[in-house]
This record gives sequence, C-alpha cells and structure tokens, in this order.
Amino acid sequence: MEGMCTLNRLKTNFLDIEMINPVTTASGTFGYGREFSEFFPLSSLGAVTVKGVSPVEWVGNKPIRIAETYGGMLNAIGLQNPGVDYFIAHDLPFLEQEKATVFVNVCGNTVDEYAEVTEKLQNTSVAALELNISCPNVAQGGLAFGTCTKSVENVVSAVKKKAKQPLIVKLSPNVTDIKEIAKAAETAGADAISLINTLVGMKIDIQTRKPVLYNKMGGLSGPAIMPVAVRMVYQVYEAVSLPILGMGGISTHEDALEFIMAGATVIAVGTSNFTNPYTTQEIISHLQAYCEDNSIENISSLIGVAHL
Amino acid sequence: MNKKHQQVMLKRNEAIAKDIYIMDLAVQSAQQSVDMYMPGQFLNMYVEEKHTILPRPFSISAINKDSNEISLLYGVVGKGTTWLSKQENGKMLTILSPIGNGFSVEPHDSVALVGGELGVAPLRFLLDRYKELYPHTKVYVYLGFKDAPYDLVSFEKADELFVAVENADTENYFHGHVIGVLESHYKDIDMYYGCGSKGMLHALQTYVQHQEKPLELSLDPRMACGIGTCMGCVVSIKDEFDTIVYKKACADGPVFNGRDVYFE
Repeated sequence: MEGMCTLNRLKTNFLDIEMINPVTTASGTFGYGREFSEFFPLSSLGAVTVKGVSPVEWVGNKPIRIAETYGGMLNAIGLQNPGVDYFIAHDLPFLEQEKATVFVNVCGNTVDEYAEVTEKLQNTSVAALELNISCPNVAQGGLAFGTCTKSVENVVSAVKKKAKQPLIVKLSPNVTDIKEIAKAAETAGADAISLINTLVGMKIDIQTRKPVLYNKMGGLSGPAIMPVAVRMVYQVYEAVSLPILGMGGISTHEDALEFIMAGATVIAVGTSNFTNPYTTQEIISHLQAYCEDNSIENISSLIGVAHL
Repeated sequence: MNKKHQQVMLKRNEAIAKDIYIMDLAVQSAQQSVDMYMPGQFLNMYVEEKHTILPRPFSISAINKDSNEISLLYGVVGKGTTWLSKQENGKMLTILSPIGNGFSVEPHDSVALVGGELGVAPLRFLLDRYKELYPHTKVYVYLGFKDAPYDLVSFEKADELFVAVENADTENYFHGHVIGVLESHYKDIDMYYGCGSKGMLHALQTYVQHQEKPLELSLDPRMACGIGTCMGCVVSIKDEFDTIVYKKACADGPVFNGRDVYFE
C-alpha cells in the first residue's frame, strides 16, 4: 500500500544501543570503513567494528601475511594499525560523517596499554569497545591474554575502570574451555561477549617445502570454521547471562540464523566481505524477508531458540 | 575512476600457450565506459569455484573502446584460474574494476617496457596507450620468459621488441635473462617501466639506478580483499623520510616509483 512503511523486523537493542539490525562487521575485515563506504552506506549496518587500534602505530608482521585454504583463509597480518591517536583524528570523523555506529576493537601488549587505548576513546562518539584478547598473530597481547582466566580478569577489570562505553570481550576459540573464559570475563565486568576470533592454522607450500606465511602460523577464518563458532556460541549462551555477538564464517542469512538460534543477539560478517563486498547487505535483506515470510515480528525472538 | 562491482560477459577465453589464456570481457556500457581505464590497473575476478574464498586479481592487458571490452592475460596456476579457464563464451562473470593506480604516461622521447612471464600483461596496455597518446615516443619492449615466449603479437606496435628466453637456445630469440639483453643492447631511454618477478624487478632497479633514469614498477604480492581493507598485500616502500614502511599494493599501488621499492 502506498505510503505505508515496512516494519523493520531487524531492529535490535544491544547493550542499550538501538541498532537498525543485528548485522555488524568483524574487526580486521572492514578496515576503518572507508573502502566499503564506496559500496554502500555504513549507516545501513547495525554497527561497524573497526580494525584493532593500539596505543601507538603497530607495523604488523612481515609478508607473506595471507593464504587461502579450503573454505577459508589464513591471516597473519599482525594487527598493523596507525594507532589510537590517528584513529581518533582521521578515521572516527569519517565514520561519524557516515553516521555509522562504531565499535572499536582495542589492542595492547600489556594491561596498561589496553587501559591507555580505552582512556583515549572516552568522550568520543564510539558506542562500544571490543576488547581484543584473542588475536593469535601478535607475540604479546592478544591471545596471550585470552587463554587463561586470571589474565582475562586482570585486563577486563582494568579496562572496565576506564570505560564509560559498554565493554564487549572478544574470545578466542584456542582454549580448552570457552565457558570458563567467558565466565571470567563476565565476573570481571564485561557487558557482552563476542566470539569467535580465528582458529590457529598453517599452510605449507609444497614447492618451497616451507610454511606459506612468514609467521608460519596464522588465524583461520571463513566458512570452514563456522561449526566450531556455532558450537561455542551455544556453549557460552548457557554459561553466562551476557548478550553475545556471534561470528565465524557467516556468509548467508541462514548462517546468521544459526548463530542467533544458538544464542547470539548480534552477528558479525568477516571474511565473506572479501568474497562478496555486498554480503552484509544481502544478509540484511534476506533476514528481513525471512522474518516476513515466517511472521516473525522481531528477529530477537529467535535468540537462543535452539536451547529450548 | 571509481571501481565498480559488476557483471561482465565473457566474449573470448582462449589458450595461447600451455596454461596461458587470453580472456575478453564485455563491460555493460550502462555500468561503465572502459575509456577511463589506465595501464597498470587491475581487476578482482570473483571466481565461482566451490570453497574458494578470495577474488583473483588480474592486470588489465588491453581495452577496446569501440566494443567497451577489457582483455586479460592469465596463467592457470591454481583452483581459481583452473575454473576460469573452463568458462565459456556468454558466461556472466563478476568483477570489481578498475582497481589501483596506473603507470605515468608522458611525452618522453623514448621509454623502455620490461616484463617477465605474466608481467607482460599490463605492458601491452601501456604500449597501446603510448601509441595512442604519444605516437612520437619511441617504445622499446623487452620481454623475458623461462621456456617459451607468448603473446608477442600484442607487442607488434613496439618500435623494437627484444625477446629473451632463459632455458631455450633458438635463432629467433635471445638466450638468457631479459635484463642481460637490456644491458647488452644499450639505448638512451628516458623512462623505464617494469612488471614481473621480484628478482627481475630488483635487477631492473639496479640497472636503472646506474642509468640514473626514472623507473616505475608494478608489484604483485599475494592479495586477499584487493580493495585496501585487509592489510594482506603490503610491500616495503621508502617513504619521504627514506624510512621503509608498508604500503598496500592494491590501494597505494600496484605501480610504485621504482626508486622507492625496497627488496629484501
């Protein structure tokens, strides 16, 4: 009927942030938004989680940094980024102009460094912080913090003291018991859990007879890891009461639904952005169509239904 | 020109040598005009081979303004290119094009285009553009191959074409490395361009440094996203303070000032 607005069945409330839909971007796969803004408005996304930001510029690992694998890819980028000051001065204004809801992925080598980045992001338009304690590609920081409950508690509580914005803690799957780590983050004050970061993998070049990546190992992402990610979201949903941001190989709206049914309130698309720059847009419109076809008034009614 | 994510029609997909193909793609005029493409630019090809994730980048080897077509020269080296080599005329393919910067084209008296194996691909476009814009510029082309040359017909417009083959000794071509041919057939050149393996580019850089002439190199490291987001394709470049920094070959290149490229 002319003049009638279609009900947005994807409106999502996450950490008291009103999001237009539950579709966000996985840190590291979307830069700081500039490149993809050429394809679609960043305001079309529930949120943009930008590439990790560290206290000072980090150069990253020596090439070769990437390798395609069966149904996925390995990366050992090493968190190359221009540092938090540059981000605030150059990238955040662009994102504000684009009316993007911004989540910043926070990186550091030490607890103090995580706290320093957090402090600098106070009194900015950043909607939430995502604590990166799960990157396998940096020698200190990253995964080193995320594999034991004590260090998770230390870094989360230090950051929580400095942050006015809600704090999402991003977990690695490279742990013995993801539920334990999630509980430690919850106890220390996390407001949400995002998972999974990459699995650790390797590819060997049989011509050179050496690992392809300069760093030898790297993070595996893409459709191949999705079953592991869905399982972990399912487990964490049972372990903590915090809302979950689920990711790991999502490339279609059906994939997104698996994560939501497993317990995710919000999802992120990562590697699939490289396969098809419009993946997020297609998922948004297909999720809306799915809700219409199934008479679902709001997608949030599907969160965790696989546990019933 | 802004890159466009678009469907193009396959018009030709022909093997010109073992595992070497020429592909012609028709761009829809409503989407884009290939007039604005620059030699040195490349495109992302989103192959449909199952379980592949990443686009495959290819240098643009030629354009046809009348038919609004793009030509690519590619080698079959893995899953994606194997799939591509089997596609038939009429197939709609998804590309993102054009990406990156181009070679500088200026009215020099003479230029040298130096290419190795599939590095010859963008040099064909560069030759065509020189002949179109600056017909008085003498264009000398030096191409090097390991076992057998290919696509030489695309370089017929060159004022002189030198072909070097490393592993074969024939009457028709020079036997040896292309840089050796450059050295032994000295010409007074105003500007050099190079595209090929790291080893060849490094040798070219050294040679041109001795000549004290300008040089542009097209770099082609492994790429993932191809659009400047993932930081996968970084190359080492000297910045304005002579510090070596990482630049993205896809977004800051693929063409760089030859003097600034740092080869480890």
